[in-house]
Amino acid sequence: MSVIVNEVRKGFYLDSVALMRLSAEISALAGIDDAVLMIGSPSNRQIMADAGLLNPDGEQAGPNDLVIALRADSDGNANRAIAHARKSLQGGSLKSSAEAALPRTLSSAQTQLPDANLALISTPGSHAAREARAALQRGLNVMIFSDNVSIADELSLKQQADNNGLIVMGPDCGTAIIGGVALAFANVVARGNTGVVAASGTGLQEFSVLLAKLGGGIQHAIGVGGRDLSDDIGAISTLKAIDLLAADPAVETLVLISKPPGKATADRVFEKLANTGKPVIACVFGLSQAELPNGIRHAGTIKAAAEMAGNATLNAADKATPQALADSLSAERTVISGLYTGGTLCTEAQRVLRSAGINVASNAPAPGADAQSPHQLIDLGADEYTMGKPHPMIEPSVREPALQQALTNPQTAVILIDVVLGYGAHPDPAQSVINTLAAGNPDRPLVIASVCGTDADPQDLATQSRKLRDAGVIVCACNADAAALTAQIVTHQST
Amino acid sequence: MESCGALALQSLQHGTGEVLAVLASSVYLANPVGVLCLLPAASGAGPINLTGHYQRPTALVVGAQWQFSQQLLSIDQQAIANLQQTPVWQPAAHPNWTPARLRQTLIDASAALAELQCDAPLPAVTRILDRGALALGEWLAQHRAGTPGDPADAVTALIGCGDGLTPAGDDYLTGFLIALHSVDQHRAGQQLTAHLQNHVIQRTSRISAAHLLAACRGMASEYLHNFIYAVMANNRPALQSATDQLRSYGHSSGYYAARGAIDALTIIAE
Repeated sequence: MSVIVNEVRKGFYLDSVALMRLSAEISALAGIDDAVLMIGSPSNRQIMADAGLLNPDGEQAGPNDLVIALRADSDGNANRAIAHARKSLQGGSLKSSAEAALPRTLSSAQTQLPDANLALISTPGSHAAREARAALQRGLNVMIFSDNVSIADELSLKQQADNNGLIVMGPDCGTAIIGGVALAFANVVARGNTGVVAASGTGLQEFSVLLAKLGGGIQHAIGVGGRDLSDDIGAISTLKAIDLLAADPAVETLVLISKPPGKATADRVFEKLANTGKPVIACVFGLSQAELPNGIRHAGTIKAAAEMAGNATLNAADKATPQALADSLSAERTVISGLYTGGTLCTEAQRVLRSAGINVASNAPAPGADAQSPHQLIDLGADEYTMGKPHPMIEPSVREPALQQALTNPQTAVILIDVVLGYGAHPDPAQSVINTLAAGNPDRPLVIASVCGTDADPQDLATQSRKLRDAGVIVCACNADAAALTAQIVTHQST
Repeated sequence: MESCGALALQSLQHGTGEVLAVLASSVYLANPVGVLCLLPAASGAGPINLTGHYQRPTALVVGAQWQFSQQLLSIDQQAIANLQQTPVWQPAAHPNWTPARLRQTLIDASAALAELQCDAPLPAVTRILDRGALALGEWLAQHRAGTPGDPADAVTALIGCGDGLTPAGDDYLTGFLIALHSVDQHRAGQQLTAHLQNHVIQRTSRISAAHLLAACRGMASEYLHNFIYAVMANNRPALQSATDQLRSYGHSSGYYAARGAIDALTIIAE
C-alpha cells in the first residue's frame, strides 16, 4: 500500500545543495519509494502530481513554499521520513540557520560556551598569534595548531600565558589529549594515569597507542610545540605542563617526549621533573641516562618509554627473521629508504639505525646524520614537502611518487614507512601504500611498516595492519621495531 | 564592502526591510522595492548582490528587521556592513561581435557547457526544460524572421520549474535574456520580458523572481556576463576563466544559465 505524504513549509528557503542532500537522505530511508523537495511553483506541483507524489496538502503550496513530497510503503516509514526531514530542517528553522548561529568571533563563542577554558586555533599562521592573544586575554588556555608563527610571537604569547596562569600548547601543535578528550590529530586510547608532555606530535601519538597496547592509558597529553624546549623559548609551556601534571592526583607517571632541550633550559626542565614526586620517564632523543638527574628514567625509544610507563613488554608483531629477509634480497640491494609522515618517527628511526651503526641522511637530520650516506630517511611532513600540498597524514597519496621511486630503485633493500591512524588522519592510509605496491614490479625491495594506531581508531589498527600484510608488507609492532629490523637486515646484507 | 549591485542599492535606499532567507553562505533581504543578496567577498558581483566582508550576526532569523542609513547596514540594530566607498556594480559594456565570430566560439562554448554539467535533474524537469527550450528557440527564430508571436505555454512552464533555490527553468531564462540583451536583441528581450512579468510572481519564488526580473533588465551575475562576452569576443582564455567562475555560481545555476545563453546565441548566430 503506497502512502503519499506532503509537508509544506510556508515561506521557507533552502539552498540548492542542502535541498539535494536532504532529498537524497530521505529517498534512501527504508520504505521510501520516491521523495522530492521543491518549491511549490505551478510547474513543480505538476511535476510532483505526474510523479504520483502530490496530495491535497501539496496542492495548496505556493511558489514561496517548500514542499517535501514522498511516497512510502507504509504510514510508519512515511512518518519516520517526515520526522527525519523535520529534524534536519530543525523544527521549522532553516538548517543553515543553525550554521548561521555558529559563532564567528571568539566573543560570541565564549557567550555560547561560557565555561570553555581552551581555545584551539587553526588559522593561517600570520593570524594565529593575534587570535591566540585574544583568547589568552579572555582567560582561555590556547592550543595553536597553526604553524608559521614567529619565535617572537611564540615567546610573547607564552609569557603572557605564564603571567596569567594559563598555558599555550604549540605553535604547530597537532596533537593533544586533555582529560581524555582528543584534540586535533590524536588516537582513541583509554584514559589512564599517565601524563605526557610532548614537543612532538607523532611521538605523542606513538607513545599513547603503544601504552594503550600495553593496557595503560593517558590522563593528559600536553603538546608544547617543537620549539618550546629551545633556549629561545625557555620551555615556558613545558614547565607549566609539568606543574599541571604534578598537581593532578589522577596523574601517577609523567613522561617527557622531546628532542634535547637547549643547554640553558635543560637544567630547569629536568630539575622540575625530578622534583614532581612522581615517577618520570624522559624519552629525549640524543640524551643518555648519564645526562639526566636521579629520579628520571631514560628511555631511548618511544617503545621503551611506553614499556616503562605500562610496566609491560610489547610483543613483536612479526616473526620474520632478519637473516631470512636479507637472503631474499639480491646482492645489489643494500640501501634503506625511509618515507615518513611523522617527523618524530623519522627521528626515532634515525636514532635506532645509528645505534646499530648505520648513519643515514635526512631532510630532518637527527644528531649523527650523515648527509653523504646512501641511506635516506625523509620526513614528508616537513615544510618543504607540504608547501601548497596536503600533509601526507591527511592525504597519503602525496607519498606515492617517492614510494614508487624507491620501489624501482634496484639498490633499495628496505623501504621503511609509517602509517598513522587516528582522528584527522586519512580514512584508509594503508590503501595508498597497497595501490603503489600493486602497480609495481614483483621484484622489489622489502617494505617494512609500523602502524601507529589502535583498534578503536576510526581506521581500525587490525584492519590496516592486515591489509598491509596481505599486500606483502612486513608490519612491526612499533616504529622502533621496524627500524631495528631494518638495521638487522641491512647489516646481514652487508656481511 | 566589495560591490553593491545597482538593484540592491535601490532596495537599500528604501531604508528598511526584513530578512527573507538565511542560507549557508548568503542572506536575502527584502522590502517592497526588491530583494538583495548579502554574500561574502569574492562571490561575484551582480545586480541584487551586496558582496564583501561583513559581520554576520549570530542567531540571524527570518523576519529580522534591517535598516540602511548613512551608508551603514544594520540588522536588528547590529551594524553589519559599511557601504562607504563601495562601488555600485552594473554589467560592463558588451564587446563587439559578428555572427561569424559567434559561430566560431559557440563550438567551444558548448564544450564549456559540458564541463559545467551537474547532476541530472528529475526526468520530468528535463522534459519541461527541453520542451521550453525548443519553444523559446522557435519563438526567437520567428521573432527574427519578422513574425513575432507570444511565447508558447511551454516557455511559461519554464518559470519556476526545477529544484533548487533558483529553479533550473528560471536560470535558463536568465541566460537566454542576458544573451539577448548582450547582442542588442532588445525588442525580443522586451517582448519576452513582458511575457515573463505577467507570470513570474505567480510561478516562482520571490528570490528567484528577483534574479529573473533583474535579467529582464539586462543584468545578472558578472560571471554570466563574462561567459557571454567571452563567447561574443571569441576569447578562449576568457571563456575558460568564465567557465571556471560559473562553476561556483550556485549548485547548477551556472550550467542552466550558460545553456540558455548558448541556445539564444546559437539562433542569433545563424
